[in-house]
Amino acid sequence: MKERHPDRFILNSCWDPRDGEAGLRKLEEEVARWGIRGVKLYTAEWRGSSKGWKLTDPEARRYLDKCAELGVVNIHVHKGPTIWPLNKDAFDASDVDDVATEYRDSLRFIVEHCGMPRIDDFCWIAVQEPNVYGGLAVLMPFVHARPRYFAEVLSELLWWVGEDRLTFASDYALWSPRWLIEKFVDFQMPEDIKEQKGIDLTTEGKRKILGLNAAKLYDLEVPAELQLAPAAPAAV
Amino acid sequence: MASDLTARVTGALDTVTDPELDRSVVELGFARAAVDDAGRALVELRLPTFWCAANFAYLMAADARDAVAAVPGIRSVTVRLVDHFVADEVTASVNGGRSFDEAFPDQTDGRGLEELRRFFWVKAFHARQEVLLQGLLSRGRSDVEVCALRVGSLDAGDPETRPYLERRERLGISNAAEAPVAVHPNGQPIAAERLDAYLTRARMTRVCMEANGSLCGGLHATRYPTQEEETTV
Repeated sequence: MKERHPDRFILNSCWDPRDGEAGLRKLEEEVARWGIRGVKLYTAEWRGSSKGWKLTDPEARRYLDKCAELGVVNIHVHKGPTIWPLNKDAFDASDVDDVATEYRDSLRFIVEHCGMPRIDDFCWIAVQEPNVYGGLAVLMPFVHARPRYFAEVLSELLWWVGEDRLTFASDYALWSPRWLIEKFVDFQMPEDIKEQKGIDLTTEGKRKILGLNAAKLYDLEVPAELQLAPAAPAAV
Repeated sequence: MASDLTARVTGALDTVTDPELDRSVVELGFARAAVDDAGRALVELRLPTFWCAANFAYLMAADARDAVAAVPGIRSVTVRLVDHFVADEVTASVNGGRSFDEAFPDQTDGRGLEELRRFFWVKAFHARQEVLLQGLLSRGRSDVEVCALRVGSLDAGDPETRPYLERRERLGISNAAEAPVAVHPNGQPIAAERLDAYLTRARMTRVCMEANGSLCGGLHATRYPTQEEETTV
C-alpha cells in the first residue's frame, strides 16, 4: 500500500530490545527503505522467561541511541491496560520519566493511552518532561459513553500536559473514526469545569489535538487553510 | 435468623473496597454473599471483565474472606471468583490460605502485594482528603484556617469526615483530637502556602479514580445486566 501511495501513508515500525543486534540491523534497513520516523513499543510483552522490559534497560538504550542517530524521533510507548506480569503494574510509566530526561533533545515519547488507568501517574511525569506527549487512544470514546468523565479527565490532561502535547487516536480500525472526530469537534467543556479549573478547550485546541500536533511530530506539511490563524496583530 | 446473619455478612462485605476504585465491592455489584442455617457463608465475586487484574482480584477475594470470617456467628467462609481468567487459582488459594505469590509461582516477581496495596491506599487517601478539604474551603475557610484545623473540630455529621478518617487510619495516621486534618500520607502537616498545589494534584488522583470507577461500572453493567438471581450455597 505504501508503495502504491507513497505520499498517503507514513509507516511506523516497532522493536524489542531482546532481539539484540539483529533487531538493530532490521531497524536500519526499515529506515533506509521506508523512511521510518516512529516506532511503537510494548514494554510489558512476555517472551520466554522474560517478563517484559523497561526503556531504561541497557539493551533498550542501545535501541534508543540508534533511533536518535537515524532520526526515528517519535517513540510511541504503550502504557495502558495489560495482564502480565500478574502482580505488577505494566502500565507503570516511570521508565519513560528517566529516558525522557536523557533524550530530551533528540526523542519524543508519546505515551499511548496516557498510562490508563493511571492517568494521574502519567501526568506527574508529563508535566516535568517537555518531550512527553499523551496519546488519547481508548480515552477518546469516553466523549460518547461518559461525556462528563471525558470532560473531567481531559480538563486534567489539559491542565497538566497541555493542548500542544496531546494527540487524537481512534484505536483499532473496527470502525470509521468519523463519528468520534465529529463528537470531539462538537464537544464543549462544561461551564463549571471551565470556571473551577480555569481550563477551556477551544477550537484551536481541538485542531491541535486532532491533527496539528501529530503533523508537527511527523513534519507534515499542513495546507495553508488548515493552519491556525497567525496571532492577531496587537491593536495600535 | 439466617437472613439477619446475611445482612451482617453483607455489611461486613460492604467494608471491602476495590483497591483501584476505592469503592465498596457491594455497591459496585462485584460481590454478594449468601449464608446457610449452619453459619456457612459463600461470597461470590463477579468482576467487570474476564481480564481484570489478577492481583486486584486476589486482594478483593482475600479481603472479603477476612471481613466475612470476622462476623460473629459465621463458622466458615468460601470465596468464589467466577467468570475470570484466573478464577480457579484465586478461588483455591484464597480458600486454602495461600498467598498470591504461592498461587502463581512463576508469574510474579515474588514480592507480594503489600506494596501495591499501600500504593492504592495512598491514592484513596488523597482522593477522600481532597473532597473533604475542598468542601471546607468552599464553605469559606481560608487555606491557613484549613491547615490549622484539628481532627477534634471536624464535623462528624459531614458525610466526607468518616471516609477520610478511615483512610488515615489505614495509613497509620493518628486520628486523635489534636492531630492536624491537612496532612501528607506520612502524617506530616501540609503548609498553608502549599495547600493549593497539593489539592490540585490530589484532584487529579480523584478524577482518575472516579473515571476508572465509571469505566469499570459500565463494563460490569454490560456484563451482568441483572443481579437479581440468588447465590446458593
